[in-house]
Amino acid sequence: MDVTAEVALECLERMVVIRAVEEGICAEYSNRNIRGPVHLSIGQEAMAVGVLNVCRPEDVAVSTHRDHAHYLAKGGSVGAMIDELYGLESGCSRGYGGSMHLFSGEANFMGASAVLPGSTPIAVGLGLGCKLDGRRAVAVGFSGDGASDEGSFFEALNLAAVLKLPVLFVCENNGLSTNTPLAARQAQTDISAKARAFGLVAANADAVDVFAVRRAAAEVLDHVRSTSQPAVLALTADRLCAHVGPVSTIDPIDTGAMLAEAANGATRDPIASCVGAILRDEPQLRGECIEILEGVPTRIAAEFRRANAAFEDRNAVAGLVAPPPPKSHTV
Amino acid sequence: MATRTQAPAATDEKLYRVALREALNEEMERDDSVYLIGEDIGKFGGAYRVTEGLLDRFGAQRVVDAPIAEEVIVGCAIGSAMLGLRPVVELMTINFSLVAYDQIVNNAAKIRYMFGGEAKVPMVIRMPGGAGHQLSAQHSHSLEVIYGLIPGLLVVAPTTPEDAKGMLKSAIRSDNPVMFLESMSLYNVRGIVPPGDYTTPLGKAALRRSGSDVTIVGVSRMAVLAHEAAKQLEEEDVDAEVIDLRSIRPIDWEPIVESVRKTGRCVVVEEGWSTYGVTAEIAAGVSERCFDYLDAPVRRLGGAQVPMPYSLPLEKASIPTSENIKQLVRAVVGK
Repeated sequence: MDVTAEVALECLERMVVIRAVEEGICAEYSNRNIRGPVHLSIGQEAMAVGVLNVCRPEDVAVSTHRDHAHYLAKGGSVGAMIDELYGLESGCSRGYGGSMHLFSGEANFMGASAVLPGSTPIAVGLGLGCKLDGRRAVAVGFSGDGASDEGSFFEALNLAAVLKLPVLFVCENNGLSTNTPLAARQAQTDISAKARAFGLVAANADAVDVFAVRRAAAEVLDHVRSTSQPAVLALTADRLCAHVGPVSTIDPIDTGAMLAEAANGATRDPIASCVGAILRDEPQLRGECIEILEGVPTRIAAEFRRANAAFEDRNAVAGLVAPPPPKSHTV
Repeated sequence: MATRTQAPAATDEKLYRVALREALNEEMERDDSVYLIGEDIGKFGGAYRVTEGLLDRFGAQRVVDAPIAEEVIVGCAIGSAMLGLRPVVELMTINFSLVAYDQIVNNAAKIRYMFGGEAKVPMVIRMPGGAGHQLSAQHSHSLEVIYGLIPGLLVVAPTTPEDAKGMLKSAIRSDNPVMFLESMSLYNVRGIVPPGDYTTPLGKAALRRSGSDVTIVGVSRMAVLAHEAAKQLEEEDVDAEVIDLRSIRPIDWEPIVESVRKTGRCVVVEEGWSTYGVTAEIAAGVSERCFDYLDAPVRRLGGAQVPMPYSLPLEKASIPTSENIKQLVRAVVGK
């Protein structure tokens, strides 16, 4: 671990917030008060947290359909996000956007576009905005490996390089575009190599390890900030959930199980990996880790209860009747 | 092309393209957040020379020569607009805008609404359309309708130098994405441009000629042809009223409805395909709003339902002419 105890716990806490929100969605979805497609970030928390932990508040970010982790890691309000999932006016997009279109002007999270690779060209414009208004901020454009199947992904790399814009393109490679593996879709599967061919600086990191992501992100961000040139950061991790729908492929956070998994050096769970790294280097932080693993999900569950009650109240006032439950979920 | 009765001083008349350039110049002068991006707009001055001289005046940061990559040009404009800049995109023709259609429809048009009003996209996309220069199938279409049908966009098509300047200034100051549809055939049209800083509102049709027998609504350059046709029909004792639609989205129904209630007859003309076209929308709206006042069915005239052919006689046969408009008007008024 090459970070202070404070930063280490901050990263762990933020990842657990993201996981707990996703687990809350899984738990609540069957009540049919949260609707629409939900693309969860379970297994990919370290990508968003590692990168955005080394960003500054004035940096701007933009995301994709899988935007929960980015919104939360950029500092978007947890309550406003949950309200948005319930379609409430108090939601971060006033109930007009839903899961795939979270927005927070306050946190400089400039929303999410859910048609690939829509937000990657927009990230170029955010970079141009940053450069021209002289705030010395950086634009961070998150995308998945699927976005790099599309042509305008590369138009974006090229234009950002030509115009010398401070954009960090973060390509989150979970190896799957919906359900089709990367190797079945791309002849050259090394996204960094393609970025270098466009003249960009590029780095890779294993995104099971949040501190490895943070380290790599700090390095490329330094480059972007000091040279006003774009860079690509290609991150690899597993999506431990369905492409879409409230289905996790791992168990909800349980402190005991998480501490046991933390000792497994080959874990693919970035939260277990983070706990493991902390306990290995700073065993005295065990109490703080346990507090986060237990306290955060409790707080998030309370947020869901609050939003659920507000949703029921809203429906009562508006005279809305919930539709009958479906026979099964389509995932 | 000027329609004033008194011959104006030569200095008052300007080319449509020059009027556009003046608008860009003045708005860039007025507001540092306005910048231009497009293909060949800087050093080369634009495919239709609208942006000539602006690179020298404002520098490469504000007049951005972009790669031939329409999707990212528009995406870049959107992102920068979200951070408070006011991009004016030039696409070489409306036909090429199809490459950027996803960004325009899925992002530019939707962002303000989709994020509950928390973000806005103040941008303009300028692009010429229209045929008549033997540019063949992929450089000649009008396609106004594919933007007209998208909520979240403002879509305008000015036909005079005065409107070109005033409406472009309004478009740049608008907080919503504006599709600014120019016509290749109008760039060299001359007309009076009022001196000084003025704006022309978006969303408003213009009455070009008063008449009592029939209302002709023209879209883009067809409004100019409709005006010519109406003047010629005078000799045949047909008194046609001409409305220049100017705004394709939103449609300014009030003057159209008022006119048709007066004349009882309506002909709608566009250069694009009329099936599912702008004229189809106007005809449906007029029928709904003026049914009891109509003395004849609303008639539509549009371009031939083919990809634009290259050969001169074939191309001429594919674009509505003032003669075609006169024929249809005669049929509608029973002459």
